[in-house]
Amino acid sequence: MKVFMIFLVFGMLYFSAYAQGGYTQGNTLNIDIMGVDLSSMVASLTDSLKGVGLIPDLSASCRVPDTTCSSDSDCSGDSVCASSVCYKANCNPLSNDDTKAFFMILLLLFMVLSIVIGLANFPSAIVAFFATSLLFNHLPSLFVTSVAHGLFEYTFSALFIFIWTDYIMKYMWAISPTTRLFLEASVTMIALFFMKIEAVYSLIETLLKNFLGTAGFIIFFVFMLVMHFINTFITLTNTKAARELRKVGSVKVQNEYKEQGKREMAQKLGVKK
Amino acid sequence: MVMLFSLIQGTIAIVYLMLTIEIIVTSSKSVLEKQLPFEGRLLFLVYSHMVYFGGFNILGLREFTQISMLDFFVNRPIVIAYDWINAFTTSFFGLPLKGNPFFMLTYLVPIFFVYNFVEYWFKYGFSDKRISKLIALAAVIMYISSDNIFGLIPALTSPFAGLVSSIVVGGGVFGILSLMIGLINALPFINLGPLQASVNSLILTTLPFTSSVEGLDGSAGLLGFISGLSPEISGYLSIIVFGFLIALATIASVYMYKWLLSKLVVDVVDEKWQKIIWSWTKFFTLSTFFFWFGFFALNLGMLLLYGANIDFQSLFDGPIMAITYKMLGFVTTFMAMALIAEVLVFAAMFVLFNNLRGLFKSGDEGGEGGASKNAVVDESANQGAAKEDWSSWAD
Repeated sequence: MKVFMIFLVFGMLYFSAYAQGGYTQGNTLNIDIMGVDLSSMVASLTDSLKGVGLIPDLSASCRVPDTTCSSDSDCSGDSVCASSVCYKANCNPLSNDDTKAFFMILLLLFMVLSIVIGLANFPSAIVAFFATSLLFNHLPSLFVTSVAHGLFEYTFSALFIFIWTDYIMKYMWAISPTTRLFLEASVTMIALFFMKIEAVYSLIETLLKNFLGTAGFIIFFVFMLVMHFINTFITLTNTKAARELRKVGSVKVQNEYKEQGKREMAQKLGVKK
Repeated sequence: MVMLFSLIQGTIAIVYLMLTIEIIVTSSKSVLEKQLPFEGRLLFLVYSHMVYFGGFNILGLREFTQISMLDFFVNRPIVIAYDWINAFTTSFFGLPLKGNPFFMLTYLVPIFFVYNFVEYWFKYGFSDKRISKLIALAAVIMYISSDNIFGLIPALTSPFAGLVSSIVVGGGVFGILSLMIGLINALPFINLGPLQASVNSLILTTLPFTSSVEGLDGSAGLLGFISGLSPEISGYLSIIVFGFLIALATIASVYMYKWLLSKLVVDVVDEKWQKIIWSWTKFFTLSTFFFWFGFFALNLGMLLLYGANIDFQSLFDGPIMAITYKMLGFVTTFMAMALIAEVLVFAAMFVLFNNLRGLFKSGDEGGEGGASKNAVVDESANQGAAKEDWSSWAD
């Protein structure tokens, strides 16, 4: 899907440019085939998306204010010229508070879409991008690192409690899915209303930070290894138990068939008990 | 004709574009899944950066031949693909790629590495996709919100690489070498109090492989001193030499193993065990070779970048140097530990095989308490056959 989309979009752009007379470096793609000016179509599409607010403008931190240029020499120092505007050289957009918050909200929406709704990664990323851009343009007060981080913490914690409970319940395979969901929802609700759930995020954060040293990493590795063995053991035990049950059931069914066969045979032979 | 050339180059550019995106997203994942600390596809990314941002031209080939196939099939399509990426990032984010040449290498690749790393290990431990994804996203948020964006990377890679190398460690010549270098390399990481300065100076003057150890900023080692090169260049040069020597030593150790096993093991164990031991030996030594060769190639790439006059002084002084030396220190220390473990295991194995010789070989006789005379005769016949088989595996 991902590869197909990329191939389709850029393939279309490329072959249109090819029909126009080939591609030359530095030129914009002047595309005009069969009377349809694709480049202006793309430009108007981008403009209309910008007008609706579906495309963010994250250039504020990297753009040199009040500059116009046609080449790099028009810009002062190491700054470079792109789209007739000078940009600071080696600028890290993530150092800007707005941009950082933008990516936090983007990841938050991605998390909700892919984990809660269960969308695949690529559609989740696309939907999250446009939704975040919309919010970015219409609700700028949300895009402050402290607010975005707080929002992420809260959502993460609530989700984590739900999923962790589900994970624990998974081992208790005799519980029905409805009961399981009910229990999970109850636990999450209790946590949401009666506990300070942001602590869950802090816990995970501390855990990850503690794993960063050499000793921490070895502990992390051993921990994961032990968890892997525990998981395997429980899964095997469950599988074994399920197999035993199935075996008992199949033996029972076999016996029934056997008895039925005996009865039918006896009837056929006219043997009376 | 020009149109045809343009068509070919444009088509290749689309393939390169997809490849670039795939490398950014999945290279770290495949590093983790294959358990190898080096991903060859990243070299393509580095090369394409060199071409697009630095106008890189291997060995002046373009001027020498006038018609460069490399330009036609590789460099030019790379430029076209990167121009498209540049146009895309400019129109969608308002951030031109040209504004930050190292954005992909220094931000996107590490972000995907952090995500994939945490996700991989949590999935391994907990066997649950949702938990691993959730925690991986939290790690990415931690990574983005931290001021030192490189903080997580060395911390994650160095012990990981150490652990991997301790798993894939070879033996023999390589082991002894790594023991020596490991011990010496471990010294700067141990707090020796008042003795630290003298130990550091000892390392710097005696060991050519540690020309600018982390924490000993810019001090040139023996290699730098002799060659008169700058500490950075001599540092990378020494790692290249070091990596190459280790790679050679690893190949030597494969042959040494072969000889050792053919002399000693064939006499005491049967065919099945020989096969098992030989396959493990091959696995250990070859993976060690690839590890060091990758390390060597990585550093060679760094040197080429430096030679291409690309301004990556900030990278050179900071994180990459730190990662390199941390990796070197930890890897070799773990190797030394692994060598000791390996020697113990081999010793135990030989003792075990010698003691259980009767058990391994006299099973067919059904006799208790060792081999009968007939069994010994049969055994010598078997040994001959086993030796023949052995030579066929060795080839």
